[in-house]
Amino acid sequence: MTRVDGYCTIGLPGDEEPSPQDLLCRMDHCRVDRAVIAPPSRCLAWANDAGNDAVLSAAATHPDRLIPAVSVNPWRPDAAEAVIGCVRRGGRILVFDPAVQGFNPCEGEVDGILRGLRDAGLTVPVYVHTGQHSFGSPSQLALLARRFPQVKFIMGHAGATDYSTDVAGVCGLAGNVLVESSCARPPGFVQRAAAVGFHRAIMGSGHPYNDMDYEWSCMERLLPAEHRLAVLGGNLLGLLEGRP
Amino acid sequence: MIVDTHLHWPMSSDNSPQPLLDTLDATGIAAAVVSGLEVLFARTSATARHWNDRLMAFCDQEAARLIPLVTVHLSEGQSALDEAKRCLGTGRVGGFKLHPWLQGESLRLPATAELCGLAAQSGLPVMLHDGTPPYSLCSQIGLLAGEHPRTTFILGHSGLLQYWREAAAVGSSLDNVYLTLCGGHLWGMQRICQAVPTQRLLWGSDCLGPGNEEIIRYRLGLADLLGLDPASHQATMGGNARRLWSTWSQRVKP
Repeated sequence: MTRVDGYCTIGLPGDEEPSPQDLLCRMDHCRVDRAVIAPPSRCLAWANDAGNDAVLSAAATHPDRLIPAVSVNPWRPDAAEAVIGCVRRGGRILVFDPAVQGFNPCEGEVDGILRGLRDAGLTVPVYVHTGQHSFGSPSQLALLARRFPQVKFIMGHAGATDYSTDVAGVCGLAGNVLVESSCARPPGFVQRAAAVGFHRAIMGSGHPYNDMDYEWSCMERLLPAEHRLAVLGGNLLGLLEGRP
Repeated sequence: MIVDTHLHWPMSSDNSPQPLLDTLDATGIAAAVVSGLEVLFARTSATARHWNDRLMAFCDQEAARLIPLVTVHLSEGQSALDEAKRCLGTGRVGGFKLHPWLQGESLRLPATAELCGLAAQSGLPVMLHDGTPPYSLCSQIGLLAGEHPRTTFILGHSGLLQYWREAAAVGSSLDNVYLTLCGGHLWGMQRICQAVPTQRLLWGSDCLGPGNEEIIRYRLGLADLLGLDPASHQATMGGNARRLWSTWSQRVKP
């Protein structure tokens, strides 16, 4: 079984978040084979290029271990071109954090980016941080996902905390949405995964904001054995490989 | 000695505390500060009275381990204050629990100030759900705490996942605010521990009733990862709660 962590953050020099090397050591300790790596919040909000360069460079050095997730603030005039450039350089997942980047997912700011990717013939899953109250609710993601039914969306944090009750409804409305577990706490996430279908659930530790070892051990203990293969890596790898 | 300061339990069943006591025993928790569930959705003081009575009777059955927090509905005005006084008059309450989000009530309602005064006179804390706009932001509770410096307030979640920095700002600037490590991620809780004096930190599970033992275990495990020195860990996990509810402890001891 390939164990894939669905969301981790690396830092740039001077950041508190771990370097790629530190993250790899942690992955080794936790027996995590591969991990999605994303830039820290300041690089989602503002220093997009520096953050994207860092994750792309780290993943290029460790292509068998690190999966680069790139992001561009959708308010940037050149957002679509910048995202296309990142994907062509190896970006495997596109990340948006509506609260940090200051937009409402259902209002259209990212539509131009997603259309640009489509027109360029590029397909990547789109990870959207959810749970922040005004910008980043699962229901806002549902409206976005329904506008782009050909795109697979990952509901980061499964709406934790206050929107956890919306998760099943959103997944019922938008069949192209999967849910990711970081910050959603394994006991609650397993219940939500059962509601939406374990084939739509992705394990993410949210390291370093959560402890990778602890989150993985709790999730492994609580997941039904027959769904571990899928949730702990299979679903995400399938998504990246374009499997339906 | 671990005290779970943020625990809910439904009051609509047979009102026996044994299932809760079994849960506490199974998870190594010595005592719990208990809020109801149904009362948060009650819409009148009459229904609040019903649920508060059930909660007090529930906790009375094991008063050495269960401390009840009663709930009133501030939008009811004088009726809410009458219910608060009635509960205080029984001598069987450990404080108040307000959940402005679920209750749909702003803390700027006129009755809030008087409730804060009643709590201060009684030496009992007011615990609030926090981390959820528009009525339960940490800063809104901080505003109230600044206006009522003699009242002790407890942030029930320390800002949850999104507002832990705001919780730390409140806790580091207002001496009458305690923070419950309950609902945030490890990174945020560790930084709260660095920013807020240890003597005002509490721990809670936010267990919602039978079948929720896993969330208790999960949050106990998180607490072990905080990296606190033994004395700070002991204070956060129970010592501070015992001090905060010291009059309660005295009451139940013969």
